[in-house]
Amino acid sequence: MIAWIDTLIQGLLLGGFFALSGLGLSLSFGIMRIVNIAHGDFLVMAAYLCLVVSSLTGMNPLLAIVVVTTLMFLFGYGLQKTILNKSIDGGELSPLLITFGLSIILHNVLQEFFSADAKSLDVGAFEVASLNIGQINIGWLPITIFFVSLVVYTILHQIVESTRFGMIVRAIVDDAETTSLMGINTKKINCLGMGLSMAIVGIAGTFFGIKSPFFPLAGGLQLLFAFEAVIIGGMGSIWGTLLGGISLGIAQSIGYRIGSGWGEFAGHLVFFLFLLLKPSGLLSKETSHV
Amino acid sequence: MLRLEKIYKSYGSLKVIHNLSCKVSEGEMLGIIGPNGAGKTTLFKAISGQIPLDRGKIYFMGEEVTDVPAFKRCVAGIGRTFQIPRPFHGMTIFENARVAANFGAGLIGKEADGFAIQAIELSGLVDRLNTPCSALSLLDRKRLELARALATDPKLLLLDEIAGGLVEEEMHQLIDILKEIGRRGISIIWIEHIVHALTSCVDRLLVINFGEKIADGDPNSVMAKRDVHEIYMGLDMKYP
Repeated sequence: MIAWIDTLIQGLLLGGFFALSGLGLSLSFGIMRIVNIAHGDFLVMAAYLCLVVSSLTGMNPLLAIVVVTTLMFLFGYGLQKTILNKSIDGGELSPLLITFGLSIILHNVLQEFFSADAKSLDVGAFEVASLNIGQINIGWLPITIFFVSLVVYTILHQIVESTRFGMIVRAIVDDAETTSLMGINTKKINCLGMGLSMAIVGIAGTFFGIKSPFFPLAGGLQLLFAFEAVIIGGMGSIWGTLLGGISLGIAQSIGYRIGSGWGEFAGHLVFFLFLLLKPSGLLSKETSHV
Repeated sequence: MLRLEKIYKSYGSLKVIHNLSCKVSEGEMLGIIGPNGAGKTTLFKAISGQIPLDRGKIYFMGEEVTDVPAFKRCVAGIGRTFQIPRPFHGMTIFENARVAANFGAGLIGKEADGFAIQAIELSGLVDRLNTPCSALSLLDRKRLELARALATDPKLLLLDEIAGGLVEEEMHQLIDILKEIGRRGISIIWIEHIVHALTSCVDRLLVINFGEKIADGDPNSVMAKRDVHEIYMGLDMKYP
């Protein structure tokens, strides 16, 4: 019984990371209607960025996260302004192909600068420190990631529901063309949206680098997990992605409890069942904002 | 106020607008009729900046706006409604109009709120400010389209079949609203299939077919023309 409670708690916390890594993808789809194939690679890029910032400044990666998030926001804004905005007018396939190309470029650039060897972000003893409750040990790092994830979701919810920017975002999610006929520069909003999406990728990427070793080609699996979280939760729904991430985390955790090779398979199985039985996901756009 | 100079628009080999020129003066209400596929809605898309032209020029308030994006044309004073209402579903009536007042009219705070409420009041929805759009009837959705377009503070209002699907009584209510908008000095271009609704309001009538101008002038004299009957009303004048 204790083992299963432990499994559920570990799954919940793992789900917090999936939810965080899927949020940027959900946002770029929800606002800009961009299926970002390079999402996982941007996550890995953020981990390398944190490595560089930590190495240059001596900052702890947990503090460097602020610098990484800011730089990733600027990167996202610039990427949308210079490349993706121009591709949006060509339909949904065009940005998909462009992000696929960016993914390949990023693989090569990262390999060129950092080699194919795995790297990691060192946060000292914090990485293995744990909270002991009876027979259950819960790592402080997964707890931190989970709560940071909840904080990011809450802030984003407040932005969407209570600010002028959020009001525009809700309008764009409903109907981008009509929004431009209300005097709104939707391309500028797209830039801010991609900036926000990449800022969240910056946070998720740093935690990814802290919790596991990373290498230039590690983004593919992260993209898959992020996609699974977004689709299980419902494409374009913020809170759906949180639920999707947690569902995926619990499924993987239960899988690992059954056998070491079953973890990822259990997650993929849940994803497959959702595609088969409820392709709109837990919370579709009709029941939530963004 | 608005001048179209020899404009052309094709989708592939399909010519939708062909060598069309037209003017609309300040405070004028122009009606546009034509059979389905005549290019009426495409004309609105071109004026509002949703689609680029193949050739020709568009002038608004003396400035060329041919290559100006849609959001800037809205800020400059071109507002439009859609044939099938497209409200922001996740918002209330008030929130829909406030988006338009904030960005189209460039107002903020209480000024924007007040302007949005005025537009909603003129459209006859003021008693349902906080009603979600998903709960509205067709007439109310059309009124909301109008309210939202008015909240952008337009100088020129493009109305796309706003009376379509309404019963006679609802249409009379709508016509009263449009006359009031006209009295406030806002120019209107109104695409409509319900000809008697148009002719009861508009100062001028433009007839287009296959994207070309067929007739333009006083509504009664335009409707009396033989080729207008032949093309638009489906009457074969050769064999009366």
